[in-house]
Amino acid sequence: MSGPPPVWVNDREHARDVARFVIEGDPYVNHLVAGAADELRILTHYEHWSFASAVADGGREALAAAVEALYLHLMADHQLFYEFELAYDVATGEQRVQLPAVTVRERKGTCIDLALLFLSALAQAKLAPVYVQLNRPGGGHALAAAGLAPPAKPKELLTLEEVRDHLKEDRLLVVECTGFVQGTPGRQHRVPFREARELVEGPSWAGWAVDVHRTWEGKEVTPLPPCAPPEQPWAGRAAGGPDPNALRAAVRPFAAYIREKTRDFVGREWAFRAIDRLLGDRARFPSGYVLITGEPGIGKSALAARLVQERGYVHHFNIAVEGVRSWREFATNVCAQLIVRYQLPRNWVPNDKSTNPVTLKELLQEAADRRKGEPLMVVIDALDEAEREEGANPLSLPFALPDGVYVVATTRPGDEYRPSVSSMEELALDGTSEDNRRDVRAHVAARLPRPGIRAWLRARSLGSEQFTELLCDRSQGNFMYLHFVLRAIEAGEFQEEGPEALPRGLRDYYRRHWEKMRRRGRRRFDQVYRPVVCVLAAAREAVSEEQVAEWTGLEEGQVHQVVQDWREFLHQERGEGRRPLYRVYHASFRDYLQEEVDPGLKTYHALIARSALRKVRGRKEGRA
Amino acid sequence: VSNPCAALTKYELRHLPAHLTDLGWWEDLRGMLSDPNYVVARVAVFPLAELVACYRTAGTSCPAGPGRDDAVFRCYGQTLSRLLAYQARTAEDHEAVLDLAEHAVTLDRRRPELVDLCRALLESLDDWNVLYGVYEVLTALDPADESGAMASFRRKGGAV
Repeated sequence: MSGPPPVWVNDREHARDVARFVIEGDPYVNHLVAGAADELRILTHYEHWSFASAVADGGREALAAAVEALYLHLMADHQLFYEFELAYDVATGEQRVQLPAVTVRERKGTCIDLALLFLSALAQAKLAPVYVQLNRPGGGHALAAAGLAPPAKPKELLTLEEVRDHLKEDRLLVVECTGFVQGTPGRQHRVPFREARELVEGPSWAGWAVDVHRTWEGKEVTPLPPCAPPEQPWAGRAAGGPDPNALRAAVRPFAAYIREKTRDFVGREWAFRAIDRLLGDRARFPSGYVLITGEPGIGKSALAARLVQERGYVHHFNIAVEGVRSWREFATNVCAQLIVRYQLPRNWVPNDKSTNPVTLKELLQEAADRRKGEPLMVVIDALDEAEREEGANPLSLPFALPDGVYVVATTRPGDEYRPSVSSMEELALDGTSEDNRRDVRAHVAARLPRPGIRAWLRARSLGSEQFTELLCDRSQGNFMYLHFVLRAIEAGEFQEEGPEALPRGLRDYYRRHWEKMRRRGRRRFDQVYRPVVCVLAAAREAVSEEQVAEWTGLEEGQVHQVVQDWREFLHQERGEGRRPLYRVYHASFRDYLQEEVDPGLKTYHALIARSALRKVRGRKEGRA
Repeated sequence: VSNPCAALTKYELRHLPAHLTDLGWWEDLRGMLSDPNYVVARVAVFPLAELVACYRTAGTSCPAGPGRDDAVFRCYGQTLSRLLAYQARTAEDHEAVLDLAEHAVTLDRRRPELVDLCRALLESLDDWNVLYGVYEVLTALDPADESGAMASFRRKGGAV
């Protein structure tokens, strides 16, 4: 934006024009709000936040807490100063005001500028901004306010009396914005709220207020555009913004998942070397996809996690059993990582699928340019679990990648999982290959010293080498098999069996474990255990014991017992209020259940669907 | 009277269409996705974009034959998709809404469902940005009802 500095005729006639200067989506303001995202428990992009849902969820208290969090963040983290209103031209009534970005850049502003900055932050956080102007002979003052409830009688322009009424009804929270600037040491953060209220209620003041959102909607006044390079060269990062780090909050944290997947990781050097060989031959393979294929449980996710852990590549993990499989989650996460890591001058990530391939490609190109010839790697795990539209690549991945850009993706074998791209190399994790058997041996060898395993071997007069070779064969090179069987041996299971009786393959292990649990009490198993485990497998994301109890019609205590008894097959995470939520640990177990126990898990999808449909009044209870 | 879909848990609101798809209960799926109560309850909790993706999936999953009605999924999906664009308040907001209005009018066959959806949204939502988009769509779909739409919009506090 260029041209003369914006001015505003500060009188009631032009009151609504003040809404022009409240800027939503400004990179500077975005940065401020993103910095307070933890406290606000929202993101500035694409979060499940709206004024309506906030009112419904937490009511006025939640909204007031959000306003307070934003205020505290501004007070604590930003060196802003109050500037007495020198910008007011008494002769013309023109008030020179500055855009919020300028207030942040210059670190100072009048009461109006500070109020506009705070209102912009409120708008960015999807709160409801209201500008409040106070006047009396000899001076005036500006305050910000936030709506705490939808107005009973919505109005664009409010009288001060109406503002006072809203305050009495707790529908509005007024904020003294000179309180978050420097130069007022010792000021308690609640004082500005109290002071602002006292000011508004003070009989010496007259004034008015503008509901900013409503004014925008009126279309007669629209906000000035955000300041962003290249329109304003001074708005570079050195001058305070836009800061790519503002998108840090949009990066999905996979650290815990990566730690879990790489626990006890051994081997795979050959796979790393193969990837490096491919990337080293830039003449033959200047860019493209490296597709790592393998059966479920072979260790694809562990390999992807290890690549990320060791080499720090940009990454995304699709986890269907956790409900992470959408294009939107992928695009937000990967684009935000590229912007933050390579400090790309962007303050947004794509939200429109139709533009994704182009936008992702653009960001990859810009990031590759910053790598100065070094390859840029992106790791994407489990394409077979990702969302896919008819006729499109999984996650709408681009057909061609810019020079020097490589995507290492994992998937199950099979044409239906392969993306259609211009350049791709495949690396198959074959359970029977000598490389894989070597890794299996290393994996087993690392566990041989464990007491439970040593005792099991001793009792069967089995040597370490024999045991290792036996597991090599029985596991069929599958690491999920090793995970379960070694853990079971260590825990004292398989005591009745000799070495020859160990399961043959992962599926056989699941089958035998299922039958073993069933033999403990067939009736109870079919009525309690089976529905709980199968419902957890059918669920699209982790759910609470209470939810499972509702769907299955069992007591919560019964569900809890099943969850305890099947813990090794389940993954626990924390939901709202740190309530434990559960899902099946690995997709291969769900495959077993839906292929051998209940075709397609349809009985349990139906259990969930019927339970939900029953709740919807007037709706028939699903199908007979 | 409260929205019956508000009784659904967050999980159910979000994933019921996927379970219905897995089951092949196309009539229930169509009923759910074209039920304004469901749309309203869901968008109050989850982003519109997810619901739009849901329409897309449903539209491509339904087998050919009775029960398949991808046109309705598509038109709802496109409607919501445009509303989402408007909600985002990007520089293209105005164009998106006008585009939506223009596009919606071409969906003659499904006009009654769209009109019902827009009316329900107009009555139930509090997000002023979305409301304005809905108002524009409704008046484009049913110009004869412009005064009714305006009255609803103003009742919610909108300035036209």
